[in-house]
Amino acid sequence: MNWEAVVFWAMATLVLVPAFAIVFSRNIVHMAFWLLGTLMGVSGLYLLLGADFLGMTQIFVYIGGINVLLLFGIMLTRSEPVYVRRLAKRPKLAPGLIIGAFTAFTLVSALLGAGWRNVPGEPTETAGILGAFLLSEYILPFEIISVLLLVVLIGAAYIARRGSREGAE
Amino acid sequence: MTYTIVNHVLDYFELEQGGLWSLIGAIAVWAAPITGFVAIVGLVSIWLERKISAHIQCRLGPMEVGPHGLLQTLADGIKLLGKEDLVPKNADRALFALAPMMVFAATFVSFACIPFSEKAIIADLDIGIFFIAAVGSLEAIGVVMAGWSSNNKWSLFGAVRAATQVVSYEIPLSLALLAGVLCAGSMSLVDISQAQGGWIWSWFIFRNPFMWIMFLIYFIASLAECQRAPFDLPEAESELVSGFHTEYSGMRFAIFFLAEYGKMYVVSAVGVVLFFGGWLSGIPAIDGIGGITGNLIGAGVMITKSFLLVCVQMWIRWTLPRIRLDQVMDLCLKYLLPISLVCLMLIAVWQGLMPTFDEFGIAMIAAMALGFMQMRRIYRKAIEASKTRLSLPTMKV
Amino acid sequence: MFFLQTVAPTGGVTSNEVFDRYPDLVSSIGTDMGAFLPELVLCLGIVWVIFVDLFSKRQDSRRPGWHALGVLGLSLLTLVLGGFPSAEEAGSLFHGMVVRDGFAVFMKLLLTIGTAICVPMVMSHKDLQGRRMGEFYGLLLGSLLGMYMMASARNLLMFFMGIEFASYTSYLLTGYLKGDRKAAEGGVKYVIYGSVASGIMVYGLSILYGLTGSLDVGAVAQALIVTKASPSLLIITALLCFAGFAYKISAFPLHFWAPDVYEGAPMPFTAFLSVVSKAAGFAILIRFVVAFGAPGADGQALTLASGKVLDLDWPQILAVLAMFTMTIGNLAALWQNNFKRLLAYSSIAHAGYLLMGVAAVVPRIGAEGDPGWQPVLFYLVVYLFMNLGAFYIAQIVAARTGTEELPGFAGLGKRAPVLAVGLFLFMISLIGLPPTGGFTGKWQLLKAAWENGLHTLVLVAVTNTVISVYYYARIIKLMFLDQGDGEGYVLPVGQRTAVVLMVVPILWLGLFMDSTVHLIRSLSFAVIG
Repeated sequence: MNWEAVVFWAMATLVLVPAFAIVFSRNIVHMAFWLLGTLMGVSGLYLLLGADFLGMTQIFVYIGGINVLLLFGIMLTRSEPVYVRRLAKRPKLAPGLIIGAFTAFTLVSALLGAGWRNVPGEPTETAGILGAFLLSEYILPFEIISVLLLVVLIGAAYIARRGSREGAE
Repeated sequence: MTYTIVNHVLDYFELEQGGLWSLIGAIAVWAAPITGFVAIVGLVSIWLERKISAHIQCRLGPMEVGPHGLLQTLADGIKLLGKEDLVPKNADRALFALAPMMVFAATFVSFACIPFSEKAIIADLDIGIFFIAAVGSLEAIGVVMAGWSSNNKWSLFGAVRAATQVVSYEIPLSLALLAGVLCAGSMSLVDISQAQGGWIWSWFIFRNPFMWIMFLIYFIASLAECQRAPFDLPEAESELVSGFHTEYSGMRFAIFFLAEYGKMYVVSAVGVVLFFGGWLSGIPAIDGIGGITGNLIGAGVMITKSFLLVCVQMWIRWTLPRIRLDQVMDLCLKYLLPISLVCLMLIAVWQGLMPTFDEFGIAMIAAMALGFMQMRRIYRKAIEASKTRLSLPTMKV
Repeated sequence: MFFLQTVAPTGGVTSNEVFDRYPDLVSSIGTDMGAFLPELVLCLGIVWVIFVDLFSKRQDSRRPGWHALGVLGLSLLTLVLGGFPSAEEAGSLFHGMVVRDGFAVFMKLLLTIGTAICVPMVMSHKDLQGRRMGEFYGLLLGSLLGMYMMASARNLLMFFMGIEFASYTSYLLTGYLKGDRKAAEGGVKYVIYGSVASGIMVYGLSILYGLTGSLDVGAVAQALIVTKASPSLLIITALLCFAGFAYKISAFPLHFWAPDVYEGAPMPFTAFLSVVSKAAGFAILIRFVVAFGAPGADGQALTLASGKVLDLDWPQILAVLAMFTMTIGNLAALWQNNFKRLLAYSSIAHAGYLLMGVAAVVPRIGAEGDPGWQPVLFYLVVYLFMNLGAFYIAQIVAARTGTEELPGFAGLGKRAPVLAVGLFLFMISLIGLPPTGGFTGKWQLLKAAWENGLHTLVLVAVTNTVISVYYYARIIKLMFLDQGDGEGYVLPVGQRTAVVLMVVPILWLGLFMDSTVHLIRSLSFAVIG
């Protein structure tokens, strides 16, 4: 086994084990912490592929931002541990398993026979080239994203604003 | 020339031939010196903090163990090691144990990208500064973990405060980092330092009229990121016992402590690289020495500068009172964020339109010196005016 | 063991080489901006409307609405002045991110008119009075901007971004009445279903990128022919991508959000969702189908949408989805008592009829003569007026009676004859009976499907039309035959004019459809790839 394989499998485990743990855990705070592992694993896979900027963005945005805010939200709304209620007394495992297995089988078999393209070349720079693409070929999506962020920010400010029944008064 | 993490792993550890065991070996070999350095930084900083606080409060501080109490911290560390490892009864054991590790790891990993001199850097990453910012944000989740798993309302309050504060201040902090990146045209910390070569006035803080504002923003935001006074709400002693690490004792507490001081050093070092020329002394003759001597001198300069900034952090902690949570958020979202955005824009415009020339740096230094003297005069006058009402004690050593 | 090699996504290009590819970067952006004026107007309009709201009193909640109308008018003006690009003028802007062709301009006109009809509805809506409405109009304009992107996208990135842009703003607008429980329920359901759908879609798009190494739709379609990827993967990818579109047009597997969201959202926005949002969804679906639907040059190689699995090909898959969509919509509509929910299911059914038209597009790709999407566009025009009209009248009635339930319409024929006759015509049109546009539109859809061999589908559609008569006719019966309580009232002139203005196009399209059909036929469609 070469070192890439070792790292790959380590990262894959880091993605999958917490993912399963999220599904089977009942404590919602634990789920949020398990998510940390999955996100880290994905970031590790990006790093393994030489996409440093992407990997670090994954950590910065998802772990440093979203996961913290997720926990923050849970903790602010409840002081006791929150447990997920099972809808049925006995969880209906069989249909879920069958559908899941079928989907997984279809996707995996299709992806295995896909004939993926191998992109040649060594990693050179990771951030600079992204910036160059954003300012040349992808300038329109880049600008539109900023408009989108502005609009969503306005919406978030509206949702968060106090006095939800201002119209009634 | 490649800068990615994968390539660093390959280059340093010659993994192509080695395989798994050499990876583990290499990690051990390279992790040891950083651990040592973080420990030393912690020891020195804690001693410095005690001494500085004592002198600000007209005390002597530790004097008994070693010359001027230099070994006091070591003695305390050994004491902490020997203490019983307590875990509260209803704590979430796994997370409780994991939390200090997360917090420490966040600080520890950042050291990988901090240059001590041109060659004395573990990984000169293409995205160095982004790496430090990203990894540093992991600390918040460690703090939240500690606060939640302690199963103590004070801890939880501390954790929630920490999360709010860190997530909010990350924005002005990142914008301030971007200012340096903009001036250097690179995110690698080595490149940024080297872009400030030459006399002292080529440092980025003198580069244009907005950089020093950015530095102030960076410094304030970094105080909040480290949860240092006046932003130490997450561990406010008077309200929350000791915040998120209330329930921690012994070595686990020591690790939190070490991480805090490590983080202080990291943000100071990044500030030095971005605004104060990194390992460059500001005198071309010294900076041009090169070789092992040059690198050693560089490392000395870098560490000195960083510790100077650490001392300023401590000075501020023992001078200013803690501010309220709403004031913390106001400062960030209503002042730092807009100012930093405007400054970033102006810096970009300046960078695009103005040529870089030495005379401007000299003029900046002169202007800053004049401004400083003017402020000092105003301050003096205020002191004079208040002396009639207040008699300040003088220190006798 | 399958294991990925360590590769750079860019294949060893440096940043300077990237810039070297575009020597006239700045000037090309400048020229592209000229053709991008309608979008720019909207971008500035979003900010402008919010500023207007900042500087006006809260009671004055209509003021930003007038400004929003002004922005829409300006955008419409720039669109009209730009004209429909001919086949020679059609091309792409911003390095192949969006296309500029007659189809896109026509769709943008349609979307803008639809939004412009919704704005006065917002301004007169009872629950939206005396509030700060700047955000509402800002989000509405933002949504329209996203739909402009959807209508003209030719890059997978723009596909995704257009849909997301339109979706995020829609989530917020659905839950705009913050105190209202139903609005909150609708908003949350919309967010959850929407994010699942776009998650599935982005998975499909990422498989496309992985297979071909390109995001440009043309390049992807070309590369798919060359690489000869496995048909099963192609069909799965196409279905994954379809999830995103299906959710936007509320088609069968992803239709279940519609009733709750439609019921929770404020009435004008429900109208917007059911018409404008759906039209944009169909625009992007047609782009997708046309780009990926054609078989390879040698007739053997497969592309995304022409892959065959188990003897099913893409038109047949679309046809099956269309059947399910229309049947489910119509059957569920039979039991509805809330007008919004009824129209929600009716709009699902109409998505089915329109999907029937899309299914008929595929065999006509590249063929001479009529573009296959002509009936779809025509029906969208009709649908815009008849559905918005129905919602507009329902809003007036709901404001008078204070309920959105069906019994509120009882005896409307006596109380307000203008409204009743208007709604009667819209219902007739929704059923698809002459002399309305609904008839001509549906006739064209059925004809296209029949001519392209989808006979079963046509039979199902006709059966569905018969089923739908029941619930539309129920409203007509309520209005004219049942006794309702409540005073009769005289409509304000403005409302009466508005109803007439909506009825006229329906009748006109029903009686004199040739000019519109001719216009749509003459539209240029930038053939991608």
